[in-house]
Amino acid sequence: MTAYQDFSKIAAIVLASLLFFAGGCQPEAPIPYEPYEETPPPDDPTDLAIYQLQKEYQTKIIYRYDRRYKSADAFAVPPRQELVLPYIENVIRKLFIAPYDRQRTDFMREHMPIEMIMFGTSMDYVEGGERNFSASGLAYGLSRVIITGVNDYDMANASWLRGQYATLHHEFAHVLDKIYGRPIGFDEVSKGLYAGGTAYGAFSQAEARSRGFWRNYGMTNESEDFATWVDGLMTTPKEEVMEIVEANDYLKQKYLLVYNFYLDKGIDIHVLQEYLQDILTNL
Amino acid sequence: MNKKIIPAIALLAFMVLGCEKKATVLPPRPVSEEVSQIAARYTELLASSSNGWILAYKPEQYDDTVYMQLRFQGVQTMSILSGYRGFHTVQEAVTYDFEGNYVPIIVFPGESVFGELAARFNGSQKFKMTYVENGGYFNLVRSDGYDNEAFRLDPAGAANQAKLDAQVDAVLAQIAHEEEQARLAEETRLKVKAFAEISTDFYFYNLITERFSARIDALDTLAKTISLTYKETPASVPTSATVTYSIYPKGIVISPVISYGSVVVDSIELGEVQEPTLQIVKAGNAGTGTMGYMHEAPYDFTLTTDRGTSITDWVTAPAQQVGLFAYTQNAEDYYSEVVNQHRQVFGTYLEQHGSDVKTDTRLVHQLYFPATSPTNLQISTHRQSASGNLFFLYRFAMEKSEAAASALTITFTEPAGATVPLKAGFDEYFSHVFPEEGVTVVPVIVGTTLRLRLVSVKDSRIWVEYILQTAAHRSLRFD
Repeated sequence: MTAYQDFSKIAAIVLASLLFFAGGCQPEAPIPYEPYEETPPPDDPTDLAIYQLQKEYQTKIIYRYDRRYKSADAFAVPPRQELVLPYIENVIRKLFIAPYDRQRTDFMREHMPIEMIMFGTSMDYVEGGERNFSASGLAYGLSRVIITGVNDYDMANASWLRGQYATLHHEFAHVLDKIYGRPIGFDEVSKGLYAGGTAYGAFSQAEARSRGFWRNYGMTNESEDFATWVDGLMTTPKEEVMEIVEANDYLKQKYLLVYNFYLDKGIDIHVLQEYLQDILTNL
Repeated sequence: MNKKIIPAIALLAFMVLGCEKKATVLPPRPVSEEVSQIAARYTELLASSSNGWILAYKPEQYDDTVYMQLRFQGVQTMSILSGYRGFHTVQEAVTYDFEGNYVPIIVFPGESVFGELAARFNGSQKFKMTYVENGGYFNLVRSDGYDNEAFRLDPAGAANQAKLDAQVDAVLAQIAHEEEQARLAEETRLKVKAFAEISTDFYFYNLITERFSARIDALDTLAKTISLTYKETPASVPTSATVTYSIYPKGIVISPVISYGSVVVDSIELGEVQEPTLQIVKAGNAGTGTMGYMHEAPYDFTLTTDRGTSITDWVTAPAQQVGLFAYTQNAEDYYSEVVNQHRQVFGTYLEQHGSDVKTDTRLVHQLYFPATSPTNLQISTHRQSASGNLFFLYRFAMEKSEAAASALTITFTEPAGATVPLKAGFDEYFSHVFPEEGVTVVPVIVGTTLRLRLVSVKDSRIWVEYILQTAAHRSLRFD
C-alpha cells in the first residue's frame, strides 16, 4: 500500500467520523427574549402611595395581615385599611423620612428598611421567653421594621404621635446599627453594668442613668442601649440632654459617641429633634 | 508699655474667640456622575427657553399657588420674579446648584423667594427634578420626602405669564392699598390728636349718635383709652366703661365692644374735626353723630331711688311748691365765669337805675315755687343806705323741654313791684342766664349735698349753681 493510499484511507475515516458526529447534533431553539414589563402603578390611593415610596426609597410598606410577620406566641391585629394612607403620608413621610432627608440628601434612599410591616395594635407576647411583654416596634436586621399602634392614628394626639416617631427612630437606629455597627467603644462604656440575668424593669431610672443608660430598657443589651440613646436624643431638647449627660462620664461618653455617629452620616440629631418637636408643638 | 499691651490683646482675643459659637460642619453633599450628566442636560434645557420658565409652586402651609418666572442664564445663575410679596421684583444673579446621587435635585438659595417660603410656610429650597419628555416640562418634588406633590415648571408662555403678571399686579395693588390705608390711618390719628387737644369751657363732653348717647369721662391718647358713661334706656342706671381704641384708616376700633339691646358700637368712623366737635360718620350700628364739647347733656338725669323720675320731673312736681325752692349766694363760685361778667354788668345797671341798690356785696338768685301763686325768681341785693336786703321779683312759667335732655324752658312773664321800671335790665340779664332754648338741670354734689346747676342750653358756658332750700332734698341723688 502506497503512502497516498494510506492518506486517502485515513482521510475517509476522519470524514466519515465528522459526518457521523455532525449528523448526531440536533440544533437547539433559542430562548425567546421577553422584555421586562414594569408593573403599572396601582389605582388604589393607598397602594399607589406605597408604590411611590417603593420607587423612591426602595422600601415596601406591608399592611395586609400575614401571620408570618409575627412570632407564633404574639398577638397583634392588622391596621385599619383607611388609616394606612394617612399614616404613610403624615407619619412615615413627614416624621420619619423627611427629618433625615432634610439634612442629608438621599439619606433615606440609602438607608430605608427594605420592609416596613404595619400592625394595628402593639405586639403582645403572652407566652415563651417574652411573656407578658408588649412591643411597640421591632427591627429584624437591616431589612425589616415592624410598626405597631397604627389603629390609634390621631395626628391631634401629641402623646401618640411622639410615641410613634420615638419608636420609628428607635427601630431605625437598630437598622443603622446593623449597617454600620455601633460606634467604636460604645459597648465598652457600660461594660459589666447591663442588667444581665436581671429583668431591666428591676432598675430605676436613676440607677440606669448612673450606669450610663438613657433609660432602663437600654440595660437589656448593647443594641437596645444604643437605640434607646437614639430615641432619647430625638425626643429631648438639646439643653435638657446637656444637663442629663453632665451627671457622669458614662453618659457623656455615650452621648458623644451617638451624636457623632449620626453627625458623621450628615445628621445632626439635635436639629432632627427640633424639627420633630416643632411639628408636635404646631399640631 | 508694649510688653503690657500685647498680653492684654492676646487675652482679649482669646476671650472673644472663646465665646464664638462653633458651627457644626457637615460633610459635603455628593453628586453622582450620572446625575451630573443629567443635570448638565437639564441646565441646557433650562437656559434654552428665552423667556424662562414659570413654576407654579404651593408651599404646604400657604393658601395659594405662587407663580415664579425663572430665567436660567447659564450654569448656576438665574433670575427670579415671583408673585409673592417682597420678591415681586426681579431678583438677579441668583445662584442655583444640583445635588443628588439618584435623581438631580435642584437647590435654590435661602436668600430667595424659595428660602422665604421654606422658612415661613414649610416650603422647600430643594426639589427632585424630572423632565417630562413628551410634555416638555419639568416636575419638581420637594427632595426631603415630606410629601409627593409635584409642581410643574413650564416654559414661559402667554397663559402662565398672565397668571404671574396677575399676581404681581395684585401685590402692587395691595402695597398701594396699604400705603393709602396708612395715609388714611395717619390722617385719622391726627384727627384724634387734634380732637383731644380741643379745649373749651363748654359744659358737656359727649359722644352722641342717633341711637347711642354717652358722656365722655376721659380720653387718653397715650394709653389709647376712652371712658364713657351712658344709659341703655332713659330709666337705666348709668353704665361706665373704659375701652381701648386702635386706629384704622377710617376711624377707631374699640375693644371691648359696647353692646346692649340691638345697639352695637364696635368702631367709630370719623368725619372732620369741627371744633369743638368731631363728626361721627358711623358708630357701629348706632348711626351718625358727633363727639366733643356740647351745650346739652347726653341723657336725662334720673333719681337714683326712682329711675322713672327725671330731674326735670322732680323740679316741676307739685311737691316742690313750698315757697323758696333754691337760692344762690354772692360768691363768684356759684356762677360761671361768663355769668359773673353778666352779673357785673347787671349789678351796675341795677345800681344806676334802681333805687338804693348795692350789688357788690349781694347779688343773688332766689327761686320761689309757691303753692298758690306763680313761680318767680327774685334777684336780691343789699341796700345802699342801710342794712337789709332788696328783692326784685319777676314771675315766670316753667315747663320741661323736649328739645334737650334734662332741660327746662323758663319764660319770664311779669315783673313785679320794683322790678317793673328795671324790666329792660332784667330781660337783658335773664336772656343770657335763662335763654329761650332753656336750661339743663344738672345735679352736682358739693361735699355731701346735692345742688342744682342751671346750664344754658344755648351756651353751656353760662350756668348758675343753686342751693336747695329743703334740707331733705340735699341728700337726694340724680345721675
